[in-house]
Amino acid sequence: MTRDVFTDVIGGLKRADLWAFLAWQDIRQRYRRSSLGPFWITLATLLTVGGMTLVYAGLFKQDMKTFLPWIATGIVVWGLISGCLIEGSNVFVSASNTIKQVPAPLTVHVFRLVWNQLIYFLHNFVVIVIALTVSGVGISRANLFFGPALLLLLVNLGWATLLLGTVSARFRDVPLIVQSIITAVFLMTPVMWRAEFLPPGRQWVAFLNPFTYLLDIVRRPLLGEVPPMNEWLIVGALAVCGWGVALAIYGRCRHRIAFWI
Amino acid sequence: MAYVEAENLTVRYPVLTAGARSLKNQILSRTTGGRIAGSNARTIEVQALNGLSFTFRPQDRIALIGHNGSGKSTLLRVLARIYHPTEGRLVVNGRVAALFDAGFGMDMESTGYENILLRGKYLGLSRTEIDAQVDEIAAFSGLGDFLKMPMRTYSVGMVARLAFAISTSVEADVLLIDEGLGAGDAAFMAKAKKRIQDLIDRSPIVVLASHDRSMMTGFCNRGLVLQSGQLVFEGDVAEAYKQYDRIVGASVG
Repeated sequence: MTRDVFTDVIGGLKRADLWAFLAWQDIRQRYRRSSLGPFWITLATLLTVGGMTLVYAGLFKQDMKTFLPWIATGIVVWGLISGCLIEGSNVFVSASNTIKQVPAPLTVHVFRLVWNQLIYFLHNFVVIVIALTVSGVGISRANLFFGPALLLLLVNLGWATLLLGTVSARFRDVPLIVQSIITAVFLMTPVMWRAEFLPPGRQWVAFLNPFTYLLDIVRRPLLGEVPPMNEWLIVGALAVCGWGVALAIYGRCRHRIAFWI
Repeated sequence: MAYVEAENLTVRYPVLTAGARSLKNQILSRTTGGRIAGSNARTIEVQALNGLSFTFRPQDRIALIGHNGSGKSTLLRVLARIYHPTEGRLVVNGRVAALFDAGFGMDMESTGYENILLRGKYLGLSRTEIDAQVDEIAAFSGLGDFLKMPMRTYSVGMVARLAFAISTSVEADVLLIDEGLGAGDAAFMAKAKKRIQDLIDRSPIVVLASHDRSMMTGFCNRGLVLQSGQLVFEGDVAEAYKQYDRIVGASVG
């Protein structure tokens, strides 16, 4: 059975022609005949980041120019994380017609979602570039770590999508539970605030939160800092354990998912 | 090489009631001895296929015959690896093409040409294969310049023609058809018959489920009769239909 699960995942990866195409098709369908197309998302993010910087820089008594890159990177990367988790829990349920008509490994839909969210992320990346340019944050060697960090984040989002998608196929209230939890986690993750702003007794909220590390590892290279070793280890360990759990559960349930949806 | 073998193939699937789908209910029923969630939380199991054994080899054109709910669609989906056997063994070698819903995957806002690509992808064709056949599909559908317009401007018949033209361009080792070919007007159906014949001729194994008896006897050489998930007859297609008529006749009286 373990071999079957790996064949399923590798088989899904191999069908890149299908999932990459479908991910683009999803976006094309949504933004057809709109003037800006998917760049409407970029505009929305730009407005959100602008508004938040105005307010939160004031609230935390920070200089707007230095705070802008922090907020921009936080909002855009969080958008990728929450998008994958919220839509990820619906990944098999919303594709139920396709699953029942098209012979393909179920993991195709997981890769489709992650690719889809990555495309949105790249559209939003424009906002980060604008924020970094406006704030005068230059290019540095640390930027090279962005690629591997993003890849590691995507690997983590992959197992989360697979696990949540499988569980949601069986229990239909899971997507709603995930949505509620994500809203709360957003507030408890250093997206708009910095861990240093918390009083020393409260800092555990940031440090015990796994999302802090997922966010930080991608954010630091963009701001010109190299992520510390402990962050790589934590995110790496999360990826390995996460895939282990996801594959175990998916492996046991994959034959029944088509019946559940 | 195309090859299908089933040994004691059994498929049982759960039907979840609304109560059973809720995580909250499942937890409640565990902590309250089942009294609160009650029978709402139980699942029902449907025995769709029961102990089927058969072998398909190249040049087999199988007609799946049976009453509604006898397991034909379930069997086709198990062969397509969409459903999986609960018990027993199934071997399917070769590239499988599943034509289950004639218009599946078409996006009404996209043009005809874009939909040829989209539906082709869903059917498992590669970009190069689709590009090689686009002109032929376009010519066969007879839609001309309409192919450059979004499909929402098409009539139902035009949509059906295009869907048919794309479906019948697949290349597969094992071709599975579940009433999935669709139809057009009389003139179209005349040229459609030849195209279906070409499709069947170039596919090593074909499994066809349809209520159109003349089509089944015309294209198939073997028949499998299913009744309530069990295989009751396997043999020549004309004999299979006689067997089916006997079963149906018995229940009708």
